[in-house]
Amino acid sequence: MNKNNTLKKIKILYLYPDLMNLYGDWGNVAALERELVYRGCEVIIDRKSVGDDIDFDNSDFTYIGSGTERSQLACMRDLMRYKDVLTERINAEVPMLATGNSHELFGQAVTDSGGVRHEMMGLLDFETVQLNTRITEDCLCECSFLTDKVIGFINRAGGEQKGDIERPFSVFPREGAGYPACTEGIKYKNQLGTYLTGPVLVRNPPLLSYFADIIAGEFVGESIKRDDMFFEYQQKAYESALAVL
Amino acid sequence: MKVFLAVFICKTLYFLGKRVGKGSSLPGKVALRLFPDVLGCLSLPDMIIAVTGSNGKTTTSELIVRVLKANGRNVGWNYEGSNQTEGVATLLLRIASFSGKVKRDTIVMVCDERYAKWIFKKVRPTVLLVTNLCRDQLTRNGHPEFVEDCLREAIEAAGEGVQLVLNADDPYVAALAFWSGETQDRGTVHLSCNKSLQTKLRTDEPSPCLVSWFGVSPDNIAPPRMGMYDDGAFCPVCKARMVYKYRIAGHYGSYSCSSCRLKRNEPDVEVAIQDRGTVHLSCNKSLQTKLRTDEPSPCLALKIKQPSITNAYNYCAAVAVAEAVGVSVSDSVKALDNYELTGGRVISLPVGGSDSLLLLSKHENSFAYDCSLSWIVQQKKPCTVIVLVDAISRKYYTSETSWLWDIDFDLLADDNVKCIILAGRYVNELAARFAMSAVDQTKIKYVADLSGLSVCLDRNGSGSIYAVTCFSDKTKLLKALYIKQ
Repeated sequence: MNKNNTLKKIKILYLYPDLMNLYGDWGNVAALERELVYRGCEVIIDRKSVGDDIDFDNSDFTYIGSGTERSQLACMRDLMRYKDVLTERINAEVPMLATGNSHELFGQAVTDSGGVRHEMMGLLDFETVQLNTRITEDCLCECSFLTDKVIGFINRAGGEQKGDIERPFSVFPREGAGYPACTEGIKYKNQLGTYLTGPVLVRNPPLLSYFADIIAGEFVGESIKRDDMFFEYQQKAYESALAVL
Repeated sequence: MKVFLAVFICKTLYFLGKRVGKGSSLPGKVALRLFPDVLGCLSLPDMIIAVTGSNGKTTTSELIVRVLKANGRNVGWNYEGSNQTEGVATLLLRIASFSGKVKRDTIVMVCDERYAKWIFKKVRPTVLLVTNLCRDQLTRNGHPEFVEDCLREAIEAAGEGVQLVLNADDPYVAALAFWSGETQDRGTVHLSCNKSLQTKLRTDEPSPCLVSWFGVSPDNIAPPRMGMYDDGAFCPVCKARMVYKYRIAGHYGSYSCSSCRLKRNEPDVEVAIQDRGTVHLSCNKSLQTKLRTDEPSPCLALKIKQPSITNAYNYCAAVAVAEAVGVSVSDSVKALDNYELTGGRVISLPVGGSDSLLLLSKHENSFAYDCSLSWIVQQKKPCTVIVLVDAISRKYYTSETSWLWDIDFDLLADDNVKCIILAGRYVNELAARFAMSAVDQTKIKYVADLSGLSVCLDRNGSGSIYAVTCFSDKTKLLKALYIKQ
């Protein structure tokens, strides 16, 4: 509840759930919905895909999941029409999460494994070069905006990203991994992009709280009893993974 | 001398490995380390069948071998399951003479879908079967389109003249043939295969490979429910929306792209499930097949012991491959009728009701899990379901459990499912996933330490017991239930 004892209405804009969808991305939206409901919000999830009219104006949070490299380009072709409004929303500090290769859409360009350069939305100053190899790796990350560590799995085309932009994650791959210790992801205002894929917000309770804090804002009044066992299991799974990674 | 030594080392290590229950990969690995080009020095038989894809490789290979042996062929195959380059090397060297002659007239090699492109550079297949492509082992394979790219390279490595046997119902597999006709646009795959008679008869595309198609008829198959994702929503070639006339399971079905020319081809060999209860299949011979044969019966029936849509594809693929190498459909059907798979994925469990079963389902493969869960619910019997995830892989540790979120556990929100036991090291990950499902949470029990599984089952289990887990956890499950193997 808020100060006026009314439910705060939150709209989550879930973009391309069918096209940009690799391995359980929907869990991010489901977990955030649970968390926001727990905090006393009324949550509407607005799913939009290729060809749909997308209403960014009344959304409180935007999520895009990971896709194949071909899907990423198809997504780009569709999303480009909203370049201006997306820029506006990001500058207005509306929170946004892009997991996997969808965050590459916000850079200047992606050069695919065949060497073809594709213009992206150019909202942020970085670009990506993809190779015909695959990086799949368990990762433990230190995070520039959280005291807790973030765990996850990187599943991306080989290659590199160049650009002058804040990298929020310091990645420590497991011993013997084929992936170097490095920084990754993008962070600009309340927009977060990362190569971590899948249900990142399920696997990382601190990251889920981080976004819920931004979205739900000041929280006043009695909290609803947290009897949803999801949160307990989520925390235990997070701790057991932290202990191993 | 090189060949002699390689064969000697491989046979010796294979023999020693067998005595300790190991070693389908190591002998080949050692031989290749010492003599990297030795496979090129072997005298191979004319007929080499490669079997690859996400699911069903080993089962389908067993069926192919069964048919070929029943029809007088002397077949060698890597039945132990080691399907990377080393496994194929072990197979070939252990059945070769010391002079390097492989003493079989036909080789069936199960090939890992990502390693096939390397294997084919050493051993070129004459027939290549691609069973299907779906989300599988993300920690290794990335995603199905990446594997599809790998298979395009594999087809290129197999070279001119290879006969492809492809799953007509799977758009990712069909895309392999599509790309081969689009080489001038993509510049990535270059094939110059001959046009076969049957291909000529149904298409005027510019440069098709020699392709045989197999598929499953929708007759008697209820439309599958849409799971947690739809990999058939968009065309794998151009990413326009796909249109389906019907679905068999997941992204398998009769599809056509709303933009490019990708569509389901009419199968050369098609299986129709006549009656799921009495496990009765019939193989229809397609028009093209009829045109090149004068066999009298276009429709043949066979019984299979473990009926499922997955096995319908496996049997159909085996018949299509056999047909491609000159065994008639009717002879294949005779060989497969009532055949009991040795490497079956369904194992009887002597616990609970008389029909309790272990349904082996690959971890990291939501398609396999969905098939098992659907089957359980379709039995319409009061039951207890055990879902055990303790080691995602036998070879490596991973914390990655995203694939659990791709499994349609809502299927278990069924009145006949009386109890669900979540077990193993990943019990909290399973519990969090189930907390987001439609399943009644009061039915769920949690067992992190497998030593408590039997007691939990005794206290809470009722009806038939269906255990769903992977090969990697099979031994642990049986041990926890005090079942001797």
